[in-house]
Amino acid sequence: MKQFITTGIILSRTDFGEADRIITLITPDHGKLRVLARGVRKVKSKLAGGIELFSVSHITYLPGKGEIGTLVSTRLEKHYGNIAKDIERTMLGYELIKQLNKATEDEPEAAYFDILRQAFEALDDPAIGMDIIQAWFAAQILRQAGHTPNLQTDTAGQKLEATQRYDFSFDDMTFTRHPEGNFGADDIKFLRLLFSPNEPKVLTKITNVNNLTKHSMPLVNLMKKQYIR
Amino acid sequence: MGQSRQVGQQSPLLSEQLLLAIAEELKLPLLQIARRAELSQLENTTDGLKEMQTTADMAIRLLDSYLFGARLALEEEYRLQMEPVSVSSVLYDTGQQLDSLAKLYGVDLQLNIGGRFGPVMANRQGLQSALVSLGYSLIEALPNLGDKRVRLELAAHRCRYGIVAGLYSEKEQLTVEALRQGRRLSGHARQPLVTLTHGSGAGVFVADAILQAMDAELKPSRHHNLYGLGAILQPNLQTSLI
Amino acid sequence: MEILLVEPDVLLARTYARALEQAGHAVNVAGTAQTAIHAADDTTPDLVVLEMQLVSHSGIEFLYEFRSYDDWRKVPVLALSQVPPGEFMGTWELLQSELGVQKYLYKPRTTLAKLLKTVDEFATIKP
Repeated sequence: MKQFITTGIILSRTDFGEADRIITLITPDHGKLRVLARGVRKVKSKLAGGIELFSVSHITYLPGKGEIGTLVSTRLEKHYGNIAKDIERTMLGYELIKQLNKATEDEPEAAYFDILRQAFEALDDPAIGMDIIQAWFAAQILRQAGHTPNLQTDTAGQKLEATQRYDFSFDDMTFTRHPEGNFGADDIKFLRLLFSPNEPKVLTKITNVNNLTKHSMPLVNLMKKQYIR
Repeated sequence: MGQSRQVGQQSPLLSEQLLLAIAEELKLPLLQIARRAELSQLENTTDGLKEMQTTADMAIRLLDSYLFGARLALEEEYRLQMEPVSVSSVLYDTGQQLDSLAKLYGVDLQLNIGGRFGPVMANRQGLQSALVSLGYSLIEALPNLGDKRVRLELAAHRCRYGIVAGLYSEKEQLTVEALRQGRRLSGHARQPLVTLTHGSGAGVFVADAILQAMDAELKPSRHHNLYGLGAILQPNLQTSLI
Repeated sequence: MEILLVEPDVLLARTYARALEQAGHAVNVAGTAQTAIHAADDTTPDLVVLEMQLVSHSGIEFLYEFRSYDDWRKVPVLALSQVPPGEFMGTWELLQSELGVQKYLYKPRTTLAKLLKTVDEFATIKP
């Protein structure tokens, strides 16, 4: 039988039957993938090796008749070892895995693999702040799910202007002109970069990025709450 | 005759990161003493006095090593007097200082000074402080590195760069990359040497900073089939002229 | 109670274990996340007392693995950690709901007496 090879990031593991486990992964080729790992319950289970948090693994599996394939072998390709050095970053990493797992329940697309991998890369780099990673991740999940806010024109269809202030309308996902609006040109420029397919590292080059991130976080979080399950 | 070095930029011994690492590290021995004292009271015994003494002594040694280096670095003209030093003698004294702690942690500390080495150019007190600090971290870390037989060897050997004096065990402690990254993250991450220790790794960084001040370097190294961390030292060439 | 104590420092582990044994509990000690999984496999614990800051794999990774097994999903976990609780402020809910940490004790402020009292609370709520 033909074996498939792919890379993947573990999202979750659950027990199955007497001695087996089902591993759920996100992969760049096949999106969300579920494979049965035979005979790996507890005693033989290892935290090191192919089954590890914050890792990209090389997976070989046999496709199954139904949704679940059978795991043949795993090999660790990259382990993001710096994440474990900081418990806050570990917790954020774990949270992002959970969020991605949830977001991909109905939409198991391959693009999510890159989002998670880039998030791990960013978490692994102590120079990139956690707030930035959190905001970036939320924006990327929204973008992937097709919920990018309108960052070009306002609710009246006018181009967004550098000298104007705006408030945000969640129903339209568009900015509304308001003289005392919460958001200005810098915020909008920041959001454009946040929602574009760039790596988190790009954001760190923005002047005043920490304040801009703090300012935009509530907005992005509300969008996520509204549009992502 | 000694060498002196003027520090153009701040010595790593004065860094806030090292101070943070030390402060974090010293919580552990104090916690150990407090809880052990409480246990003895609960049990209404005087058991544990030896353990508390060893713990306190080692914490003092770590602090002392750090202070030795930091005081020197604070002097206007930063001078670490170099002199011909017997590596075997330093390793032996280091072993004496680490012995009680090793016993407490169930680590078999062994001295292996086979081979004849001439003296090296070093600051004796600095070298010993560095090795004791390093030993402190490694003894605490070793039981969790998966060795069935927890053994730590104090040893020296020749390499093409000079003479390496260090501490070695059967399981790899730190890779070159892990140490390099750890130096960058010390004081910024809770566990900059996470593959070695659950703590801040202050003992390793104190050793690192003191050795840097002697123009010696702490490096992951091999000793026969053992893995470890060692200080690369220069032989005292003067004696070869006699 | 059958307690799994996950504590990386040999001396602290010995002290905590002795205190818990004095109070009538059976204690299994593990120094790392991996040995803790193996220890739980040998003897299913009634309670896990867990240091979050471990070598190589943190307490979070341990819990991620531990909770992925049906048998251990409901085992209560008491964190006894040197990490100040403030560092989990933003993620406390996640720690509780997803990873099942029922209570968090900060080591520097937790005497043996306080630990034993807290462990007793878990004994009384055991079904």
